[in-house]
Amino acid sequence: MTCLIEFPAKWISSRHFEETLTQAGDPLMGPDMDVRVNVPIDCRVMVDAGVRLLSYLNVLVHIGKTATLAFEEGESGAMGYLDRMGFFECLNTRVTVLPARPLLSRSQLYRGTNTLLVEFARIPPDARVAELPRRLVSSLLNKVDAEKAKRVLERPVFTMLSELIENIYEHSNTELDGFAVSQYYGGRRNEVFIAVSDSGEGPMERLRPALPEFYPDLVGASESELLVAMFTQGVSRLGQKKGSGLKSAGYHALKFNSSLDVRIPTTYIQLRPAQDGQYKAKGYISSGLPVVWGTHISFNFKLDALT
Amino acid sequence: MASDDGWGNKPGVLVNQKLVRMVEEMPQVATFRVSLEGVRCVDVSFARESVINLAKRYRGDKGFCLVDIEATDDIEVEDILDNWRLAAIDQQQPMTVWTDDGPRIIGPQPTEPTQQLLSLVLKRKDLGTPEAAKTLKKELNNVSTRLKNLTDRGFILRQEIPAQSGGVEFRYRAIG
Repeated sequence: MTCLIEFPAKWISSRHFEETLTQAGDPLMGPDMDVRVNVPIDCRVMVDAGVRLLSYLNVLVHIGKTATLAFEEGESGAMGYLDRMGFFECLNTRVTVLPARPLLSRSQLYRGTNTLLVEFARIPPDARVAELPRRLVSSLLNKVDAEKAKRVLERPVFTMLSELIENIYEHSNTELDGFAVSQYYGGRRNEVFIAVSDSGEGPMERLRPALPEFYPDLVGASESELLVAMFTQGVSRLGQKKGSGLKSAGYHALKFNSSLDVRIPTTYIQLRPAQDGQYKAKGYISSGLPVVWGTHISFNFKLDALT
Repeated sequence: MASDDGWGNKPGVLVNQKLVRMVEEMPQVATFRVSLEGVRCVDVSFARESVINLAKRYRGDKGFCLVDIEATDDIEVEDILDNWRLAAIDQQQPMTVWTDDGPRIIGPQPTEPTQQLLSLVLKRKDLGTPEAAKTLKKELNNVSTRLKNLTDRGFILRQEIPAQSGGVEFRYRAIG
């Protein structure tokens, strides 16, 4: 039997990705060995959903399932868009793409030798790519016109990306590649998206055993409460000795009043800046979700105040 | 640094190791000025592992400060210093920064009464306990304890020099 993940015909954010996945049951852990993702006409996959889809498909084939990604609109729709951003260069070649996998990636044609224009970037966990945050920042700033916004964005966005990427090297404990993406959506949207995903063990595996020693008052906390504490208090499996990349990323994101959402193996939360200037879990919180390996973090914020 | 950006724990540790070797090769030098010339972005992890931990290691004995901040205006100065400040707070290790306005401390700050004394040291750059006590109209013992405390916590440096009366006089100095 084939398990079908059917995206709706609209812009798909990370939240829509979660809703669609839940409707499909549990494709990763369920009995069906074939998984098919349908992307219908007029469906547009935003980068935060795209990076999760990428990780998810790669994990499916990694555990021995067959995965098909079918674009009803062909290259003129979501497939062409994802192609320009380098999606297919990161997608495991064992994933079947319909109508056909692009032979020569458009992102390579479009980009030429200019690696600064990459949007989707691969993060091999065992080999540090020194120029990665700079590439992603440059790619983003290239698309933003306002000089003031470029200046204000550069260092905070660099830090958000670098600290999240560092987290993959430090904590993901996996041989699977992670991915990062940065994108600016212009026009009326005027919005920045930054997302970093890994397909590792998720943060709770090694955080929970460290709680009695470093954070005894959090021993009984739920996963969503712990995620909030990781971003606001810098709670980490190493205690306070090394500081926390998530807290640093969250600090800079708050400068832009950025929304934040986090997906770990069975929990998804959205965080919003509260009156006290800290992140609070608000709106969509869900646990007991279909399994997704790893940690998936995305920030998005409007540039209206800067442009 | 391998490039004009510094990010991540391991690259920070590598820079720290190089700096430790350099410091150990110059035992007579008490103050090191770390130039940020040509440095574009530094994240919190790198700032912590490279220079902040270096200052922590030699706290009270040797001093490290940041200089040559390349910024077009005050807003950019703060932008550049933001991650250094977060790293300094993480490690509870104050860091002296020199700009056109003179020295200042980023990271943890002393309590209010001691802050006054620290400001005086930063302003005068170099002073002794009697001078500080007289200026602030405080008791000599009280000022002496606070100056020692500021030294131990890495805000300033203390130097022993021969006193005119014989014996030893302590001078307290801004780092840099």
